Amino acid sequence: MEDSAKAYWSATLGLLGKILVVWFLVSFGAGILFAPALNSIHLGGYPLGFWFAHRGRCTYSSR
Amino acid sequence: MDLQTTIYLVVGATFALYIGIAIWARAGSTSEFYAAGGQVGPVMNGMAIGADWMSAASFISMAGLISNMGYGGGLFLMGWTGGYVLLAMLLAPYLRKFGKFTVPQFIGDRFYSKSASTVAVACLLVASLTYIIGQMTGVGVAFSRFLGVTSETGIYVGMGIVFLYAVFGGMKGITYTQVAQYCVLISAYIIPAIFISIQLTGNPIPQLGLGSNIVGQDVSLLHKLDLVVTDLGFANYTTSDAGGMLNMFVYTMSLMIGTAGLPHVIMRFFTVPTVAAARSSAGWALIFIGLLYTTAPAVAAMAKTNLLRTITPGVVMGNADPYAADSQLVYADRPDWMKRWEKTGLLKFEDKNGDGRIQYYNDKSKSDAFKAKAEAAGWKGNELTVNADIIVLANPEIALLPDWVIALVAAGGLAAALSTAAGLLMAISAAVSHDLIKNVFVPDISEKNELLAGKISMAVAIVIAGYLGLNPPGFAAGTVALAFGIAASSLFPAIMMGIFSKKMNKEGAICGMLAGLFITLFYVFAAKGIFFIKGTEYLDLIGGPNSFFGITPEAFGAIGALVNFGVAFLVDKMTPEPPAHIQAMVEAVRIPRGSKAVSGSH
Repeated sequence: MEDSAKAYWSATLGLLGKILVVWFLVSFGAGILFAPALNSIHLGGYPLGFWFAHRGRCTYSSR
Repeated sequence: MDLQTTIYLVVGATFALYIGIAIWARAGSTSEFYAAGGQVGPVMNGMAIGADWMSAASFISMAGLISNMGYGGGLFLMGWTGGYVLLAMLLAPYLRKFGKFTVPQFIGDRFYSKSASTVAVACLLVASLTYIIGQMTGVGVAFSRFLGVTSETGIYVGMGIVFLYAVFGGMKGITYTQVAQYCVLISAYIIPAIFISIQLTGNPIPQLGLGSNIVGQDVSLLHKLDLVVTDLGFANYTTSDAGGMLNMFVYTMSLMIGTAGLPHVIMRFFTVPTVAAARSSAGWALIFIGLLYTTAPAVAAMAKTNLLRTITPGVVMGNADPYAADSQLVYADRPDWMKRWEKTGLLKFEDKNGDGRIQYYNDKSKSDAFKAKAEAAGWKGNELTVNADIIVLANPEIALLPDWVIALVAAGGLAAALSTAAGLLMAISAAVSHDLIKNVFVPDISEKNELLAGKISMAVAIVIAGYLGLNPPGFAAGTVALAFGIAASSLFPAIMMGIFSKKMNKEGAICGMLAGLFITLFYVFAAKGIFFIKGTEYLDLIGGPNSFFGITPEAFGAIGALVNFGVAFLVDKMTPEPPAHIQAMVEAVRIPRGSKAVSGSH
């Protein structure tokens, strides 16, 4: 009982950690930190960094 | 039928709907008043969360600010949606399992201290009040256009209606009316966007239209917009960041963690019966919110394009020279929508060079090449002031869309403004009557008096917010960002540590909250005035505007949160750890087993 609760919690933390890494890379990484670099790439009329900040963010959040 | 009659009809019909629902679901006992008896389904709850989310700030103000800020405005999109991820994953399920009505109750129980709960009430009140100031700004804009009066009068009318509205139904009324409001405001947002997208690019999906080519030209809408705004001395639309990369980073972070710490949204998760239902309403809400947030960037860029197109038609839809005298609109020939908005005082024209034409450009541009061109063209300064908060509401008018679309947008704007203001008033009323009066000062207060105290605190809150909303510290979305910063720096760290650190004790949490709140308010008030009262700024004391690494007051919440965490851990190390039963309680909260309906202390 005690052990399974511990295992459940550490599994939860592990999953949360992974999701947060993706969350950070997509929003802060692609949307802000690397946006200037990504802007040199164009995707169907959008500069890519701008796309991540304005559009990709929501696409990603919608999982 | 003329435009104004259509607007009255559509707005009247939607209001009749909301009020009808509120009467039908009229609140009875306190438990129903605050959490709708714990019996609202996940899809409905998702829509209600969506309506809460799409406040006046998101609906009325956000796209306008993005439209002015360009790429930098994306921080609102990233901040508010990204914060939602944090809220749904890190906090909502655990707070729901904990099973208390309000955030101060959670903090009071988890940190086994009435002082902790009182401090949390103080943080909550400051954040919610700031938030309502932003909403009242939006309410003022919406009502002033709706009634054709100045924005001040709009705020007075709005104050009365918001108050009636919140007092009338309580949460249950509000949950169901918000479902109706969500439907009204999402269609009010998307329908004009579709029309405008077809007009400008021929693509009916606004999300795709933004990247498509302008009708009749071989250049994409965004690229054209970049060219035109640069010609007018503004920063490049797709790359202009908000005060540097660092500021943009912390600004986004503040909005995200502020979202996760803001009480009125968290309360929504208490109105569903189980943890599983809380999770699925979070999922539904995300879809409903995503609809608006994916449309916003398109609305922003297209509104900007349309505004420029109105003033300099040949430049946007053709390749005319923006500096040629006949490129600019003659003021006497201005379209009707400009005249209508001039009445509200939110759009102003001043003929600085006396040529009778409207010059709309950035007269603060630092580019010498641009200044030389403006000088050569005989421009004597920007002549058109457009308040960013009117962009969304004016958008269908600027695009000359049919009257019923304009009326629908007015109804949507009013719905958005009313719904969040009402939700926030609920949070304030619960905090004062329940967490402060019942739990701290008068434990044996009767249910009736508790309700009364809640309603009085609502009235006080709305008067203060309305008064400060007359001279708001910024545009609606900017003011709301300040509120998120305050929540980020005070409440978010305490809730996080309450769940994820078993050893965090009351001394740590209290000192952390106070430190985070104090330092953030100190920095914000320095620039915006003490309690946002104009004329009480003390910028010299902190060494000029944005003196902390160029970080703006709106973005400071993330720094406040760092201070909060830091102070809390330091104090925690120096004081005894929490009692065993508290540590056991934290362990129990982490496991979804055995969750029950919300039980307050009523």
